[in-house]
Formats: sequence, C-alpha cells, structure tokens
Amino acid sequence: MRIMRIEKRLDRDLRRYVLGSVDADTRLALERGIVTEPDVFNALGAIEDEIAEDYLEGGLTDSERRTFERHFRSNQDLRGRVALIRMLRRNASRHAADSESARTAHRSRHRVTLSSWWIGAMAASILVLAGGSVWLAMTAHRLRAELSQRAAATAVRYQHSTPSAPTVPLATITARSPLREPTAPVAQPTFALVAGTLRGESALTRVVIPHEAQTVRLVLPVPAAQYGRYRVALLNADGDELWLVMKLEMVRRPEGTAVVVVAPAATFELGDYQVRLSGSVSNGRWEDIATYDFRVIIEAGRRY
Amino acid sequence: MRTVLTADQFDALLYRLAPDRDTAAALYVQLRRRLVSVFAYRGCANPEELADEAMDRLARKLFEGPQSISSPQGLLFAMAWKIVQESFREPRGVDLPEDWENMETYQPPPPEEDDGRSQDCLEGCLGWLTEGDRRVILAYFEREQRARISHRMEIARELGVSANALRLKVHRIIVQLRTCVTECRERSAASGM
Repeated sequence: MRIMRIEKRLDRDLRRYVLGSVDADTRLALERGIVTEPDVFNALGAIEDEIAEDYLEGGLTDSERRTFERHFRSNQDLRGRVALIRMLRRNASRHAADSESARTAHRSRHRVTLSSWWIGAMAASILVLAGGSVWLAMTAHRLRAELSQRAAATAVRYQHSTPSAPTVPLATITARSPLREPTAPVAQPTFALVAGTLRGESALTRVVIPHEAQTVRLVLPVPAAQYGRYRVALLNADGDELWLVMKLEMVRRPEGTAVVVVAPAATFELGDYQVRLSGSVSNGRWEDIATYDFRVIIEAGRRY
Repeated sequence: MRTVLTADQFDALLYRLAPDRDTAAALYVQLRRRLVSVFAYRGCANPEELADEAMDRLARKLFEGPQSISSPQGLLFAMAWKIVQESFREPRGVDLPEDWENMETYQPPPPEEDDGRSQDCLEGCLGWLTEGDRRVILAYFEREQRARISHRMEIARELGVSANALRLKVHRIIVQLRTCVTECRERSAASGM
C-alpha cells in the first residue's frame, strides 16, 4: 500500500515536471533521481508516453501543450516516441478491427457446425446407449464367471506357496472393482507444438488424441534458459482459461530446450486451443514468452 | 570548446560503470539518455552536446582518482548540475524549427512524410517482439480517450500485474520498438530504398 502511494506521488510529481509546473526543490530532487536511479528514469519515460497520448488526443491544456511541444522539439528521443505512439495507436486499432472480424467469422462458423453436430450426436447417443447396455450386461456376466474360476484356482495356488498367509477371497474383491475389458497399457501421446502467431487454419498444428489416452504430453520449445520457473495456461478458442500449471522447469532434449507439460486428455474436445507460456520474473510476476496454437482432433471411439 | 577524451579515460569510465564491457557500454548509453532528458527539461539549448560533455568530465575525473569516488552516478549528477548552470550563463542560440511560423499549432509530422517507411519498419519490428509483448502493446493502444483507462486495468488484471507495472512494461517495449524502428530507417536510408 505504501509503495503504491509512493508510486502515485512520484507519477504526479513527474507529470508536473514534464508539464513544467513543479516547484524548484521537487524538480531538483527528481532530476537527481532521473540521473542516479534507473527506476525514476523509467517512470519518467512511462509518464512521457502517457502525456504523449494525451497530447495526441488533444487532452492537454494550451499551456501544457506548449510546454510539452517545447520539450519534444529539443529532445529527439521524446519526439521519436511521440511519432511511434501515434503509429502504434493506428496499428492497434487496425489489429483490433481485424481480430474482431476474425472472431465473428469463427463464432458464426462454430454455431453452424454445432447445430448440425448436435442433431447427429443425439441420434448416435441413443443407439450407443441401447447397444452399450446389452454389451455391458453380457460382458459382466461372462467376466464374473471367468473371475470366479480364476479366483478359486488362485486361492489354491496362494495357499500352497505361502501356507502362513491368510486366504483372500479374490472373487469378493474383484466384484467390487469396476468391470471392464482388459486393455493395453494406457498411452501418453506426445505432441511438439510450434510457437508463434495465429496461423491460417491449414497450417495449425494438429494434435490427434487416441481415444484411450488419459493424458497428453505437450512439448513447448523455448529459446534458452532465461527463466527459473515457467507457467503454462491452456485456453480454448474463446480465450477462456481451461487449466493452469505453474512452477514448471525447462528440460533439455535432443531437439533443443523445451518446457514439457502433461495435461488430462479429458480436457480436450474437438476444437482449437492455445497454450500460453510465461516465465517467472522478480517479485512473483510472470512475463509472457510465447503462445502455441493447435487444433485437437480426437480419434473416433472417445467422444463425438 | 570540448577537449577530446583519451582512450584510457574512456576505459576508466566504462570500467567503473561495470567490469563487463558490453554491460558498461549499455549503461553508458542509458546514463547519457538520462542526462539528455534532464538537460532538455531544463530548457538547455543543446541537450545532446551537454550530455556528452558531462560524460567526458566524469571520465576524466574517474581516470584521475578512481578510488575516491564511491558513486559515479552521483558525481555525474553534480557535474550535470554544474553544466546546466554554465549553459545558462552562455548566450543561447536556439535554431528556429523549420515550421516556426506554425509554432502555436505545432503537430508532430505525419508518418506519411517519410513515404511510409517508419510504418513498414514498425510492422517489421513488431514481428521481432515476443508474442506476449506484441499482444500487450497492441492491446494497450487499442482503446482511446476515456475507454483506455478501464481497458488497461483489464489488461493488467489479466496479466496479474499492477497498472503501474503494466505501464512500465509498455514503456520498455516502446523503447525497444523505437530503437528498432530507428535502426531500420537508417538501414533503409543507407541502402537508398
């Protein structure tokens, strides 16, 4: 709280300093800070940027405007930044307009897909439920019979090999366990993602998740060891954060350095996702490093 | 008139700023920028020249008695202050800006005046930023006037930082972009594009 108050006071004084309305003592103290303290100089730069915006928007009084113009005429760096901020504002508006139209197009496409998909899914669900119930009843019956036979045989073997051990009624234990067909070891598919800006649909990294996968390993290439810890957030196409993993470390692989994260396969549906990678900087803050866009395709058999 | 700084004097300055030469050079540039700001806000006629003069004086002082000086930055401020006072005693010859007739309604020159080169350079430089920084800077300048305050609070919340930290981060990106655009423009001017 105290730090915030000091920051606000410094900002207020620096603003007055730039606009020429600060008293002599404060001015001298600020100038000492500007020359000797990097933080004060950076704060001055941030205030100048803010005033440059006010200037470009016509938000300064006549006297403030004249003072500011006098400064930037004699300060090439400030003049350059005012011009740059003007260009950035134009670029940002254009970028926002482009993003909005892309989002609108994506949403409308998604709505059409969902409506036809939903009708198909309802019909398929009814068929699957009916067929599945019959199959489950038959399988359960067959397995119970098989397990009873094996339990009896195993109990006999167990008694013979370790006579002092208590006899375990195996059939009782297995009956409480969920009945299911024996399966192959659960796979953990690995996908190396590509960092960068949003690409066109055809160039998106495609992640095909096998239907039996319970977890998915995502490999996020990073340039070098610049951060002690990493944070990974998964976002859906609407920008909603689905999950967040913190305190990850970079690993060295033959292909280069990367951050590896394991995500539950159940998190993913068919669709586009973005992984956002951040690195820890001082004071518990995180700095964005890269984003990785990809499209998930789930093998038939799991969910559709 | 300024006297030329010897290589030994310059080395003494760099060594006192940081033992590593590259770090020292970066610090030198930053200190010089700080001085230019102070001289400009003091209304001095030639802030760049005065900053060089202050840096030269500091180098000479450090070369003469490096051990007795605990803080080069503190000494630099004292020298800058002396230079400001000296500059006020000198007759001030300030060149009129080219558009001095329109001084009261001065506007920064529109980017179109440089054939869009700065705009091209900016787009290239935005591509050099990290994805995170690019998103932040474009989102930061997306809204104008009153809407910009609440929009920036929202960005800060999303990033999990204070509004002040966000503003400093944006300033750092702006400085990066400004350097990049300047270098790009110089390159394109040199190649006659």
